[in-house]
Amino acid sequence: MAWETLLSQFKGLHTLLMIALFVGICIWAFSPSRQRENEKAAHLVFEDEDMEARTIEQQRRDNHDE
Amino acid sequence: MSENQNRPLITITEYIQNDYRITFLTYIIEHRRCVAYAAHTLQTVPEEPNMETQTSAETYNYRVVRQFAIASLVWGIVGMGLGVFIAAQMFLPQLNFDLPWTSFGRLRPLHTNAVIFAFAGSALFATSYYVVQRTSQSRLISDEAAAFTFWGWQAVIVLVAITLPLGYTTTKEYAEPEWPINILIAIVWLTYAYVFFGTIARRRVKHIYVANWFYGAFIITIAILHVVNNLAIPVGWFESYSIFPGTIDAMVQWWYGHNAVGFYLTAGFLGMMYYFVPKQANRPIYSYRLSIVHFWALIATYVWAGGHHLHYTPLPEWAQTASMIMSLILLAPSWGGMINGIMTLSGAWYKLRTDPILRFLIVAVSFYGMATFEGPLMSIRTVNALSHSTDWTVGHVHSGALGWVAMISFGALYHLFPRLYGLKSMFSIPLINLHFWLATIGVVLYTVSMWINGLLQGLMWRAVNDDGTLTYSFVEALEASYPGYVVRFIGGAFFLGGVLVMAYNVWRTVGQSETGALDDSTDAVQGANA
Repeated sequence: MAWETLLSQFKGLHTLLMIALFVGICIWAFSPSRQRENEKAAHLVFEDEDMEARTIEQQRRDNHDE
Repeated sequence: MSENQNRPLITITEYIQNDYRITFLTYIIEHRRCVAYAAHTLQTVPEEPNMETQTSAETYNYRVVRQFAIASLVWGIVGMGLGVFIAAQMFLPQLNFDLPWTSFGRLRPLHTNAVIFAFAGSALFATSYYVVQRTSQSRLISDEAAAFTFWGWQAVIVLVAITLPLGYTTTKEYAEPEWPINILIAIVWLTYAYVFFGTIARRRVKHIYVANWFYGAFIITIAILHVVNNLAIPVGWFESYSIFPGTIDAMVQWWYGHNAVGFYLTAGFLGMMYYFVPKQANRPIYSYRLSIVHFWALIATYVWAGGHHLHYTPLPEWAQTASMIMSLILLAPSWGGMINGIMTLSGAWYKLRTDPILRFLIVAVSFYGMATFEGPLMSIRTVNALSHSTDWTVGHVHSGALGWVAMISFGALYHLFPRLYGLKSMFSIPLINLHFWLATIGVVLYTVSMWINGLLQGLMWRAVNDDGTLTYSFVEALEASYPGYVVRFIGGAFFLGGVLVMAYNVWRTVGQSETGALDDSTDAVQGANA
């Protein structure tokens, strides 16, 4: 087979593959089994306060030492 | 660590659950195993506090975040000040001073580089370092490497600020700095990637939060775009020639240029949106699964859109059409993201009345929606025939740059500063409110005047008489644009005035911290301001 034919077939398959991959990601993201994980992930932004408190405490101590 | 601690517990639970089903013999074996596990656990107990303190002593690296946050503000004033100055040059050409260094042609790239790379870039560094640490619950992988990115980036900015007015330029839009600076940028950027992804690698939570996906895509894509677009053959310390010929060079340049918009000015700031909007509103993002689809759809589509900058050029027509179609498709992920950000407030809209920081963030996301509607519209070839090279393009860029990029950065920075300095809130909330209104009035004046100018120029340039000659000369269209230029200058001045108000507010906030607000005893004083 000529190189051009191979290349154009690869391009076609590649496009289909990418579409399938994207549809797969959508189905995965919206699948009911992901719901709990999604819920947990969405709350990650609120779980950063312990280390923040330590950081501020550390800054206070450094300030006192100076 | 936590797995080891849990193992005996799980075994005991299983042991109790299985109790009724197992034979006496297994009972004894299980029992023995349990005892063994229990003994093991007891043995490890004295070690536990040790391990705990090792990890729990870990703190966030706020130093580099503070540095970049302050730098962002300083460069914001410089870059926007330059913008206001060159806006005045448009109707007061005397301000060129007849000097090469202060001419519009040299100051304009200085303005774009200062606001994109110095102001917005520092804001991206600051927030990405802040967000990646907090959502990974882990300190940056290396304080030294992070400090190198700060000083390296500032060095890049200073070098650009010196070489561009002197006239050293590659002439590639938004990639004007010459090759020695480009190499430094690449080194700093790779270090940035190491710090960011290294921190993700040592995260203490399983999931990588969506904001980090956007920041990560921004860092990787910019590395690739920067290197490929700046491939050049140097012929001197400050002179080089692109390795790409003619039309291909133009295509590479706009593949770079549009993805700089898509990944630098969009994906990076969407990372900001996904952390700071939920955090400031104190509500989780509207739909996490939508954010996953938003991410993949956006990064898969943006890379194809660059060709729309080259409509009606020697670029093959299929490439122009493909980029136009992809630009139209982009509306879907863009608006998906916008809806996700705004709907986070659903059921808590009242917060917008009292919280000017949240107002900054939400208005920014609204401007993002407007700019990403306007963009696909302008990418349609026939619309582009009217808008191309007119002030409409300038207005479009600024509704994105001022309305989206700058506004969401202001919101994020107002959220950051008190936290970075151990305070409860900014020095003055009314001043944030004042800044918000100055910024909003500024953007509206800017975009509206540029829309009017753009349509006026587009229509005047294409008007032809019956005999085929042009109805208007270029100068006539320019003269008709003067009122718009004055209004644009006023809008820009409003916006800059807002940033100066912010600088004063931040200066007083930092001052509170330095006068001992980090000390517990002054909590009452902070409370009075909160």
